Amino acid sequence: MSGSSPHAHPIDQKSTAKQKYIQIFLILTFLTVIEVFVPKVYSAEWNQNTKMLLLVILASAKALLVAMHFMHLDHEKTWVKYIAATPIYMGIFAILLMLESVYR
Amino acid sequence: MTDSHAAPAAVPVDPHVGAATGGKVAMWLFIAQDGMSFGGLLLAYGILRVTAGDWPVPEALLGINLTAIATFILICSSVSMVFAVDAAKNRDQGGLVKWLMWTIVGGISFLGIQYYEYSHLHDIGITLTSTVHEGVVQNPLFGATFYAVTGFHGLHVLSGVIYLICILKKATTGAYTAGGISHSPVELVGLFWHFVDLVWILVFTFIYLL
Repeated sequence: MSGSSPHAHPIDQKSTAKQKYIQIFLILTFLTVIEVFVPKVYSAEWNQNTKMLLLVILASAKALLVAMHFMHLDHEKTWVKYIAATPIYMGIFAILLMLESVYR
Repeated sequence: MTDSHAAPAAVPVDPHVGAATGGKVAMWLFIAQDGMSFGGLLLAYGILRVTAGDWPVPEALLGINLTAIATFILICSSVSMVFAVDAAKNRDQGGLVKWLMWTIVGGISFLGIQYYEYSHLHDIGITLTSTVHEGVVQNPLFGATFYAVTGFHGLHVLSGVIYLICILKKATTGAYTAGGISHSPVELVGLFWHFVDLVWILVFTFIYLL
């Protein structure tokens, strides 16, 4: 980080942070555009599993970017990260229940 | 509230949560439990859909392009929110007010799109209790789950906008940018707003795209 340099100017730090946010914004926009095209490209019945996998990966990547960089979870201590990660258990539970429903 | 305004430097560094304030830890706890509320709704949606058999293709009934624009607006508002938090940290009064206002504009635009979408879907036959598409009666649970999940999220956007307006009102008086005063309330509203954005990313995928 440039902020750790003793010669770093506060204005440089500010513009670096803004650049990072704009980069994240561009990545999020790009991933959203891909997301919109995924159901159109993988619309066939035999492609549904690929579509589902791709969309879940894209959504998870976007959610992770927002949590880490906009909510500054990357700067928090481990216990705050544990609190934030609690709803992930809900996702695991959801996958297990759906699998049980499908293969019952 | 008074303590957080009095001396921001006095927050002790905790071995578990670091320099995070009590307010921030409380907001994260709230976000975690609220995330599980959304998880419960999405879980119910998933099970109903997987076991239904005759579930309509969401893309055929819902306007994906319009919702993608709404998603883009919410992402933009998240960026303006992070700029607002940065402005508060840097004691930039003008920047804080400007970016908070843009965030509110983003939230209101999202709600406007949702209102338009709801009235359009209602007109074509998708209501809370029935799903009719081009004269064909479909599984009514499609409409019920759609309105339950997106409506619950919409209420979060609405409460976020109200929360932001309250913070903006105080920000205009310099309450978060004057020397020695904590900008913590701006950070907290920011956390809530980003959470609303994060949840929408998942709702957009599970309800509209899958």
